[in-house]
Amino acid sequence: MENTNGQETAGAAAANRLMDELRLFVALRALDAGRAEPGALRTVQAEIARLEALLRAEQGPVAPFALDQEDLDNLFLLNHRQGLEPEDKVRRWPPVRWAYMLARKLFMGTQRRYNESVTYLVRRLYATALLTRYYQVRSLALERRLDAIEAQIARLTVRPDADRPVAGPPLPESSREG
Amino acid sequence: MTACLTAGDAIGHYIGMLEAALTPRHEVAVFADRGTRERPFLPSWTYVPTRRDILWFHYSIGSENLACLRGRGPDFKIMDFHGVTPPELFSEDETELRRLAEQALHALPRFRDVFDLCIVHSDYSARVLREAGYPRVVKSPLAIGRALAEADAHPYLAERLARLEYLLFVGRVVAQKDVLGAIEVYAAVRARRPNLKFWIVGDRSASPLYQQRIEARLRERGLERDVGFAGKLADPRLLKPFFLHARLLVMLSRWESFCVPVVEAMGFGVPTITSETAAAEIMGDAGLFVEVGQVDNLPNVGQVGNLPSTVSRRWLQDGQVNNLPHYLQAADAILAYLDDRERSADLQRRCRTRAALFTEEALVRSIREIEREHFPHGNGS
Repeated sequence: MENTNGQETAGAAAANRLMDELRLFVALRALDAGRAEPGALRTVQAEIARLEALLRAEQGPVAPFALDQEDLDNLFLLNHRQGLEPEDKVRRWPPVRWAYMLARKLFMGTQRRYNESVTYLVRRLYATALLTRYYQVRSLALERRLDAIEAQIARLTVRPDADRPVAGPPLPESSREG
Repeated sequence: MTACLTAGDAIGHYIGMLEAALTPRHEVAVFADRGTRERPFLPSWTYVPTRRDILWFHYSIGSENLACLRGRGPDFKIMDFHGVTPPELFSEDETELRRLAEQALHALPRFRDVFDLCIVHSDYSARVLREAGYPRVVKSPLAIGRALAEADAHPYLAERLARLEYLLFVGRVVAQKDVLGAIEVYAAVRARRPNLKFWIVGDRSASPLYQQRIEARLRERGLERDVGFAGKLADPRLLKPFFLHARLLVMLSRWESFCVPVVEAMGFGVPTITSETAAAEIMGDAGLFVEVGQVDNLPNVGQVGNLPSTVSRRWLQDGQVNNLPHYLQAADAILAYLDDRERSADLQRRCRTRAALFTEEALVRSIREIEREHFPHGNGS
């Protein structure tokens, strides 16, 4: 019975691991394509945090990723968007309010399309930052794996009877492969 | 002419197949109000009626192109009816879509003198049009094209999905499709089959409110690691492996006029479980149908089939009493199907046989027949 339970637990763990790998794969694809997937950002953020924790445990602190002030200034598009809306105080004055309502009626389609493209650009910007960080920490983790394999090979070359290398858990695939 | 021409979706594929079927005998121009960059089209407002043209109009929700139907006009007009989603099935934050659906339903009886012929893809749609007073209604199959079947499955996805036992939902993640209901049914099945997973493939950009409800429900049920969202997969190489290895397609929509994923799944020998009559009509005997029950038929909660009482009680607490009987039936039917290898194999065989009714060849044959019988001076022979 214990054995059966053990097998079930192993099966559940394997299934969960597969789900995590697949979830990450589709999330990376979604971010890469600039699609508005609510869970994709969270999934990639969680994977980055996992890889960072892994690297921290092995190599000490990992340099944090941050957007430079220059990058933040590039979000000027948001200011543009606000610039299209009149200030509340001004809008209260009836002629301005009427003119605003008329302009809104006439150009609402344009405004909506403009807002959509701004949202899209900001989302792409954030997704790109996140993907850059993901590939950075993934490369670091792969380097660490390579170092470990090289060390194993060196040990085996010196002492052929040393323990056989044990494969670590598979790293998630890149969204760009295939 | 269509409202929105999107490359990769069901209507986009269908229009491509129609274009290919008609091009040898006709000059074809595709008009749309909006579309994606991958697929060229002419804006609807550039359509000018002549006496020699045929306007093939795709009718679903309201759009600017309804303006082309103001008068009878000299052209022969065909309505390709894809059904109009009942407005009450949209979420609170889908006000614009609800308004467009109301507009289309309101306008439907007015256009009965404008169209010379109506093409439908299910008996349900034929009934809707006949009730609206349309005299000439012809049924034709909606084909799914060969792109999905002929695509090479993405190796990374295919290899992993092959090792997973999962249920599948394909479609837009909106209230009309009752994805929350499908999650509830999955939760009940999973209580008896812990390694079973659930993949939801489809666009999630339509209703942020509904997405929040789904996230909250998954958190509440502790299913965050068991349910995966793949998003909209327009690339057939990515979509194919999800169909290839699924055990069952779960489509508990509240309303459908055809349901393309049912046909796509049948092509891969994957049966569907549904409670929707139009989807059931498409599926035929190659799937599982559960009827939406009434409160009067409410079974003794806690002792129903294989389901644990906690699940049934939760549904009652959520006020989903009206849906309870068919959720329970669906969960029971899925469990029985998953456990019965012989029945699974039989349904898979039936799926593959039935999928042959919805091929591009069947569509081309049907179009030629419609041309011969109904087009003015038809030259479909």
